[in-house]
Amino acid sequence: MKFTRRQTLASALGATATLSMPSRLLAQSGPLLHASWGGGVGDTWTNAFAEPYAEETGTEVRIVELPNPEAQFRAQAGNPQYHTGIGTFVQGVNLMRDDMLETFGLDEIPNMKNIDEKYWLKTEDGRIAGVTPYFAYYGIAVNTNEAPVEEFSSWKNLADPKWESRLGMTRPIYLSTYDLTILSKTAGGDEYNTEGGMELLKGMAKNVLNVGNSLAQQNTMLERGEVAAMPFYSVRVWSLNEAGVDYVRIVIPEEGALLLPYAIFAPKGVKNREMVAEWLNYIASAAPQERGTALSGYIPANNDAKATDEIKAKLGGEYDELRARLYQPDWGYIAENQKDTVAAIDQMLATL
Amino acid sequence: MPRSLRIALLLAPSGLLMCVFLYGLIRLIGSSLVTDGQIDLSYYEAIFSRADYVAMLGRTLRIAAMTTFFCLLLGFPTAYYVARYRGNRNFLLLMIIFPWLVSIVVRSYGWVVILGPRGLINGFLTWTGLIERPAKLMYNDFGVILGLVHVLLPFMIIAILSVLMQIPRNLEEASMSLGGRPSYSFRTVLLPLSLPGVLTGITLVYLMATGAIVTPLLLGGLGDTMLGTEIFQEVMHFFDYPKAAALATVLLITALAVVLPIQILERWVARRLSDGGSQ
Repeated sequence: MKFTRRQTLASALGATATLSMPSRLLAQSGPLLHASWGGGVGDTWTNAFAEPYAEETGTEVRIVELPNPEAQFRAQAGNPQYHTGIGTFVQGVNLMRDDMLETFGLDEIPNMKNIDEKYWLKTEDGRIAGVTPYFAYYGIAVNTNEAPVEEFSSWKNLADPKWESRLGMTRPIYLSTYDLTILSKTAGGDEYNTEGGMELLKGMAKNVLNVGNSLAQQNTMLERGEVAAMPFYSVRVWSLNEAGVDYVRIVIPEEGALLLPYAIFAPKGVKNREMVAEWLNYIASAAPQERGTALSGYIPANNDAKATDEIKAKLGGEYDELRARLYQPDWGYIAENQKDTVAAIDQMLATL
Repeated sequence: MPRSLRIALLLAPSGLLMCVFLYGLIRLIGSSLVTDGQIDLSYYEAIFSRADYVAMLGRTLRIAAMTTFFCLLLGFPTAYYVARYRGNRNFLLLMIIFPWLVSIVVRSYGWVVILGPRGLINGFLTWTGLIERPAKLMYNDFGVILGLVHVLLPFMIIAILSVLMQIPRNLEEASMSLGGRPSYSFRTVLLPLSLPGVLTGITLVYLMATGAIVTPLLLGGLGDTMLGTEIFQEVMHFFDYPKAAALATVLLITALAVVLPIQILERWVARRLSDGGSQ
């Protein structure tokens, strides 16, 4: 069989067009596309939320793993390709402030009634801009081969010079929202008054071996014992423990740990709005959140969610008991001042 | 097909590339200078009024210069050895570019296994009792420079090698047969003739080192932020594109301040060599 030049060109163009289609189809076929972080988060969303939802309702939700869903929401402003996405509460607040999120009434997401209003991502006029399905907490992860957990019974211990070059730390972007907030509370202040917290942060920074740039890197540092301890996420330690790394433990210091709510939001002008509202309502319900806990150790936001004995043993008690030991700051204020706080931390670190 | 049409068709891809590049560059500089249709230098004022940013700029240039120096120090002898190798030269070339088959992230993490507190070297030193606590061999300037040299060395070797391969071996032999010592032959014959490749290698490595992101992120310490990583943060976390553009423009200008003289020198050397060859 012989091809003319024109046929060859047409075939090449056709092949190019075909190859360029999947990404567009991926973003438009559906019916629902949910932007998620990768790794364990994506797996949790597939197994605990999306697949059961498809079985119950017949509506398929495809979990698309991305390094930063917020960046996609911003890049696609005005022409959203995703129906929903996950972010930290601070990211949700920032997107909401920039008028990039679709808002819903309580009648559209009735399951929100079972979630404490202090966890709601809502506009000034009370409309729901995001659903909080669960939260983690920010405590101190300790490699018990390197140091006993009792050595980190207070956040202040992190500033003890005896830990020089033995601690890990996250980047200023997260130091500004998480570490500084809980250290400020430890120092007698709060997110509005961070002077004492900044001093503690400075003390901790002097002990730091390196700054973790990804969760995988931080996991490795802890697991290998490159660092003895670092402020870290409860769910990451949960994953390490589930993977058999039982010598890394998470500690809630006597001053408490920081409560970290996550938010699921829809971009402004989202297509299939009604279907999105139904999906968000499902996310706000107890059953998928309980499955998420069993898979990844997240603490459900829905008050109806019940902990099994196994979960209680792993978390160290009932959800309510745990929540009582966690500090929930004013995330709106933190988000509003984040850039200035990061600049202050950058300048503080430059003087070390 | 007429010759002029052939030339035009050949130039079209590079012309398109240049147009896209220039458009992007103009937009980049424009977005850092113009706010709401007005010239606005506030982003530049903000950068130069912060001591940590000025220090970061200095650190970026210093690390780039040191990386370039060490790449040259290691790259020239390696390129010379490959150029004069009488066996299977392609195999050596393959070995040089082999690291490019592995992700830069994996290559950088490889150093953690060797230099980290629980790494090979610290493990050995602790085991022998020479040190009590692990030495800080990485997460500092040293770690960043080491990682960058590892990543960028092949560029230097290939740039120099491409020129060394063009230098006839008998020129060195002639110099030595006339009584010149190896060091004299190197200084007066090999080095001048290889300068175009050396200068190209310096330019390539320096430019790539100034804009490095991944290696400083993974191997740098607390106070070792480079301008590339700061730009990355402004784009990926704060979505502050004008500020990122201002930082990128500063980086571009400071890099050009070093690279342009090198380019002028390279042309001068090439002209001198060309004149020498025609005499």
